[in-house]
Amino acid sequence: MNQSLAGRVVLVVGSGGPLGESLCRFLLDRGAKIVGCSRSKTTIEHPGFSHQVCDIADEQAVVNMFYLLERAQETPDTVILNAASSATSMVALLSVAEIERVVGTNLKGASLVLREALKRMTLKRFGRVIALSSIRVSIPARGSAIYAMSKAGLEQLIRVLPFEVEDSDITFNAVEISVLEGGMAAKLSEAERASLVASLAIKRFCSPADVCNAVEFFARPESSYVTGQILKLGFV
Amino acid sequence: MALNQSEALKLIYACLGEINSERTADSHLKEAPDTGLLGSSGELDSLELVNLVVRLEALLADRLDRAVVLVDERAFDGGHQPFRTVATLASYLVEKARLAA
Repeated sequence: MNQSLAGRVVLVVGSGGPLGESLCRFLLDRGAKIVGCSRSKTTIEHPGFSHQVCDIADEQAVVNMFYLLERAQETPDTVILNAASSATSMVALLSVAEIERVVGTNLKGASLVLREALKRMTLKRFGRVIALSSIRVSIPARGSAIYAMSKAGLEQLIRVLPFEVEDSDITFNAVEISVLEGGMAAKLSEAERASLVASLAIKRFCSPADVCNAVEFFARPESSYVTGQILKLGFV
Repeated sequence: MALNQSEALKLIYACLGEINSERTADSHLKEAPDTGLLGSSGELDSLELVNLVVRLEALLADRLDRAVVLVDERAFDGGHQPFRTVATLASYLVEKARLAA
């Protein structure tokens, strides 16, 4: 059995959706202890799994979550940023509530989680941060502006952070996912699916297993010389 | 739980000790109220400042039995300058502890 992440404590932010759940189960299989985090409860039951209900856009909630994890000796050494709020409105039709929701989760929330995680990683001089991003940063499409903008901001965070840690084995990387099978792909018409697949270098949608594989690579201790990278999955 | 100025100074000195352990002997920060931290008389570089904040928050959490975030809009405010010296930082910690209580 592959136990590449044995002994690690991984915080999966956004553990509630199908991809989050797949990531949790995959990482449990790799020997890691998992702390799931989402706005609602989860269905995962496993001795290596615990869960925190937390709205990451709420500073005090994030601070308290890390405090409680520390007290429970579950301080994460690895953070996977999978939480995301999406929006499909064209810019001319955007409401303030939509902007605040997307930016609140994808940028403010991610920044708060990383702030608290980095405090702990700095003391231990070890950490892995992996952010899940989107094809829409690299390949624009109508209606994706606010979502893509927030993910582009997240990617910039990943590129800057390597310069804010020193003499430590803390790395920051991101994965741009093309179109997730069962996720966004499920909402598309047949014609849209065909058109999207044709635009990809690998002619199929992304599976949760593809994402898990990339996440494991960045999370491994051997990946200490890989940081600030944005990996495109399935497209160029 | 209250924190007085003397206790706050001790927490800061504990953190300075950690920072000094990574400095050469001739560049140690003095454990004294008038030691400059940031600003014109400041002696901390940016990564040492991060270390100081992180270690202080951890010590405060142990002392107060709750999470405390030191960085807010006031933390690096030019007018208040709580991180200017060890003494101003100690006063800031006392105030933070009072608000957290």
